[in-house]
Amino acid sequence: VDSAFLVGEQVSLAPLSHRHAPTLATWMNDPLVRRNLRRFRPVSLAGELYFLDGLAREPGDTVLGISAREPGLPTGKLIGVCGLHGADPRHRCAELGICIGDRSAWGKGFGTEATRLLVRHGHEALRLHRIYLHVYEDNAPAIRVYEKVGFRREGVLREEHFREGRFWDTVVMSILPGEPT
Amino acid sequence: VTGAFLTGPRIHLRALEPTDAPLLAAWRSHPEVRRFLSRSGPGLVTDEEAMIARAEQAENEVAFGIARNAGGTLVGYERLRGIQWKDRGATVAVLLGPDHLGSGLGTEALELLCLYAFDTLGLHRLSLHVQKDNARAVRCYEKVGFEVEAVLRADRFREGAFVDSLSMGLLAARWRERRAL
Repeated sequence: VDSAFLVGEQVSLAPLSHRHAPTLATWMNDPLVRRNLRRFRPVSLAGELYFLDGLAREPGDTVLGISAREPGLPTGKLIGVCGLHGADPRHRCAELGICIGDRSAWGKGFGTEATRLLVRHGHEALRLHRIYLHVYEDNAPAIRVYEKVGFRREGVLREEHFREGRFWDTVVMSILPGEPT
Repeated sequence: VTGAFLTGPRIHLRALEPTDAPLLAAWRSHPEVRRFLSRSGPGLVTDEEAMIARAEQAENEVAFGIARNAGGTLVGYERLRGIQWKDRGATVAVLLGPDHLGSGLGTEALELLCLYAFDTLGLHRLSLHVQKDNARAVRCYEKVGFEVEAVLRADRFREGAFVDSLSMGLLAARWRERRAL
């Protein structure tokens, strides 16, 4: 039985394990999910297990599954995954990533709360300073979530990524300690 | 197991799993299938397992299983090989199981592979070699837009004689033009 690592009102965040791999791989293959992500290859169950093992070996990474809280269940149903990546020990910065892979969980505020929990953990527990993220220009729902949490738009990386037959811009956002969340 | 990566009218592309290897090996051994393969020896499960693992981890390869939308039966597989990221080219290989030859499912699968190669990977050119008298395969490639660029004289030895191969190619611009019609 897993115990939650970070607990909010709607969601709890807990480490991932091998038994989550089929769900995670299915999300990563879903065209509507992966169009917002950098991963672009078909993901097998074996491949996802390998990927999960790799994440666990990265010292600067904190990767957590997002579960919708349900009464009576310790961690509820897995609906997404999020993490702080590449934490730099000297500059105290890290990149935030989040994906709600379960499409039936979109638009319910789960991502907003998970992002808040993760940012607070980064600033208060990991003593991170700058937490930044990259988001594709046309991912309006995600940009709204990040703004709600307190991320500020720092700039636009012009034609930074390629998908659906052309280049698209990427937006850079960040949040520093003490900024309203 | 891990969901559809790209979906067409009758089939979808999905990640290949190590557990698919025995079926792939059996297909390779089948006389109807191996007749036109350049590697004409018996199909070995270990070879197919190695191919599946390599295709998922290699920088310059992507492999998909081709499965029916109804019921999920695996009917074949296809690959992009030798992806050259600078020249933005790759070679294409499609293999259908003996029960599915001539079903038109290969054409549908190749259309999806082209969509992935041109619109997701941003490739510029796809190419392939096919034995000249493999009429079924040549028709399939032509339907998708591949054109014969060269006749490779006495390129393969089969059934006691040398046979010609065709070198076929498809450019992204040509493929987009045809789709717009």
